[in-house]
Amino acid sequence: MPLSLSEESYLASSLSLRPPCRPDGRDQHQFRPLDASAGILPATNGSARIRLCDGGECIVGIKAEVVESRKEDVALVEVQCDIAGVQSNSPLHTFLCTTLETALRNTLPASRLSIIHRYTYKLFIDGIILDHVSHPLTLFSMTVYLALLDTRLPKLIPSADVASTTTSTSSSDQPIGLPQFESDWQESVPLCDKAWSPPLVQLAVLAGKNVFVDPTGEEAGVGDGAIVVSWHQGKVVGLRTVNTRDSSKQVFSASRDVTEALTRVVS
Amino acid sequence: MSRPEIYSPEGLRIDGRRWNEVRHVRCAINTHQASSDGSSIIEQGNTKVICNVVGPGEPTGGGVGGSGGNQRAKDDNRVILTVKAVVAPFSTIDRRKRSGNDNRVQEMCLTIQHIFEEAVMGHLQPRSQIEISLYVLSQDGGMLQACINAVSLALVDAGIPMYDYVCACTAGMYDKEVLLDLNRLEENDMPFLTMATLGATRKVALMQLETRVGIDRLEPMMAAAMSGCHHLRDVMDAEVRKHGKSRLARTGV
Amino acid sequence: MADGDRSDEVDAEDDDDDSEDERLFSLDPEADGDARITGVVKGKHIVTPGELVTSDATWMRGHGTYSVGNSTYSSVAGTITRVNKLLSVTPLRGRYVPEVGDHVVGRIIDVGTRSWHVDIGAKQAAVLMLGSVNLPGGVQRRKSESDELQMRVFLKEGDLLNAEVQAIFTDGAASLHTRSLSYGKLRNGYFLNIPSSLIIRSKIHTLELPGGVDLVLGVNGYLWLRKHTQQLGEQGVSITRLAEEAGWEIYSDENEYISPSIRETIARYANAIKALEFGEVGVNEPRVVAAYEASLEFKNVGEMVENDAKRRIARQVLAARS
Repeated sequence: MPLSLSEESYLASSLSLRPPCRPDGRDQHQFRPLDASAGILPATNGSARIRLCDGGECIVGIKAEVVESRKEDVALVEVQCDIAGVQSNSPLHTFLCTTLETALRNTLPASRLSIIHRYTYKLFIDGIILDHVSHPLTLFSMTVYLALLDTRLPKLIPSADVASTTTSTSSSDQPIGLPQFESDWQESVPLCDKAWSPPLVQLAVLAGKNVFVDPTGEEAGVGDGAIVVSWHQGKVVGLRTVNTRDSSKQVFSASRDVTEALTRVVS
Repeated sequence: MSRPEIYSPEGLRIDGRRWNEVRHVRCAINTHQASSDGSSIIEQGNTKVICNVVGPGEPTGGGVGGSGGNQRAKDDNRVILTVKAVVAPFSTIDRRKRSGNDNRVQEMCLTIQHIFEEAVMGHLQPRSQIEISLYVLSQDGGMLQACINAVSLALVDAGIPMYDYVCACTAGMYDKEVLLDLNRLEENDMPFLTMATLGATRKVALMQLETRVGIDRLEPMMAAAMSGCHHLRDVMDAEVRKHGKSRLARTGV
Repeated sequence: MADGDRSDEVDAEDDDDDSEDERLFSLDPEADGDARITGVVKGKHIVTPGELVTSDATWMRGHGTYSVGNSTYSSVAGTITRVNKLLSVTPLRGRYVPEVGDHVVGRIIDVGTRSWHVDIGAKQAAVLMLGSVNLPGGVQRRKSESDELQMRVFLKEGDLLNAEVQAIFTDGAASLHTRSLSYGKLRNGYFLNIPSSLIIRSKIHTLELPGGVDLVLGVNGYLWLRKHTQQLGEQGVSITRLAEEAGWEIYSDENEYISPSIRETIARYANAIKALEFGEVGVNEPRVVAAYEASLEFKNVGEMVENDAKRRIARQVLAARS
């Protein structure tokens, strides 16, 4: 529902004050409290659910499938989502999915998913956004992040590994060398460890000379533009502007702010 | 390695239940307070469904703008129910590709819509709309029954007048044995029906049977399913009362 | 079924509307064989859809009930309310149900030819007729066709206003009016909404709060926090001149200057009210003020978005009451 003109001008002027005054009094870099849980769906390799205090909610399930890795261009990560109240294949879907897909493909080394030289895992990341009041990108990305942290892949049985390597050298088109996995889930291996953690993508709103992380719907509505920051293990790995008419200098200072805020949230 | 027996001679099913035992049911209402008027989560065994209800409110489907006069005329003084379901691609063991309008899901939505058009006292909510959204997170048999039960709970939570809960349960026929509340493996292996009743009465709101069954087998299946429905009503009712009590205690005068 | 044993206790409590026994559930276990009915329960008893409330035909059936034959059943989950011979069930949760005289805040969703449609959070949109608003130029001014053509000049989609419920149509929709200078378009502030069930009705719903902030506490759960400004009536103008004073500025979209400290106070009030919502505490003037005072321990308004802070404020407000 649109805001009235006087509401808009009240919000816009509050946000562009120095220092700004957000409608809920938050600090520029302060996130809203959220309720997160992981491992909620036993039939998936990894799953997570995040709820925001404004009612926004996202559930993500990750399934890993074994695919042949001979083709060079095989995409190892596929992100799809459903958004309540939005027609499927809308620009918003494309924006969410491609943004996350790009971030993941750029940061996830193929070696993490490879099983043996012929086979590799392919991750299917599916999200359901049950409700969103603010822009769903931040919510979706955080839920995917958590679900990836929760993701476990079955352990390969070593003997099968050897067996399949020998058969594959004798080369045949039939996939006789399908890898064998430990059936015990206790033995599974987590996808993420100290050496690699998933990327996060955040949307920040610009208003005047100020930058706000975790914007509410009304803040995004009156802002001058937004930037999308991809963040991975303490570094900004991607930066994109959406409807911004501001100088790049400001965008960079903004990205620094967002990074600081993110570092605080993750730790 | 042989497949596990659907029904052992000792009278035990794959998951250790007897023929007349339903799976463990867990449910909760008012789970999505901020985003909906009524909400529920139900878990029947490993089948898990979330339901959100928004409404009754001003109909949104019609044309935007205009005087609104013609919109009102065609509403024929009853509530409009819309049912949407999202079956998560990760809800099954093997990930299923997402297809925009899966016929089975569409059909399920229509079935649910028809059931609740009867159960909701629609004449009390003229020219208004109730939007029902279902999210199937995990399926292990009995998706339709879990959805119906979830919608019932969410509508009760939204304070929408209904004649009674609509509660649903499945029953199957394995050889000559009736089995109640089937899981996915059992569903794949035998004819089964889904039945929904209006509360603890013998009024049937839905009976759906998609396979051939001898007419003499039908009656015991129906009887079993009905007793399952009544059991579910008790479980759901207990949850609603529990929630109501805690709510009264919090906001009580 | 013996009517006598019940009517004794019923009559005795008729005058005492506020007592806990206002909600009464009384049923003779012998009267009906239904196993779901356990007996005589008083006070806050919860009934659920399909539950038998009474099989006595002398009761009148109100909202939240339906009847089959002589028996009355509940159609919602809620508590039984009895007014004289009228039995109704009040749902635990539900949308705002407008009543004549309610002071509500609404948002325009649609502009029609002679009326506006206003979202007030009820089952149906409310209607605001062109004839039920004050137009620039005063009360005596005649409405003309040109007014119908320029309705968007007065109020357009998205605009917020406060109004009084004037009448209820047969289908339950509300008709509003703003024919008083305390009603009309809202500006100089910030909108928020909470469940209408949390609003405690009182005589005054435009509150002047400490800190230079006004709160328009719509009975429908829609709230408007604004900088305190002198309303037209307060400027010492005689009633007869009010009409002329009501110029175009009542439909202005321009905000006055609002200082940063007022903006911060508005944010603080908004968070204090959200804390009351979080704790499911009923909202009225003393509680809002109490929550505001409790919130002063948080120097930074932003700290109040955390759930712990909200819980703390709600608890303090409840403790202050007793």
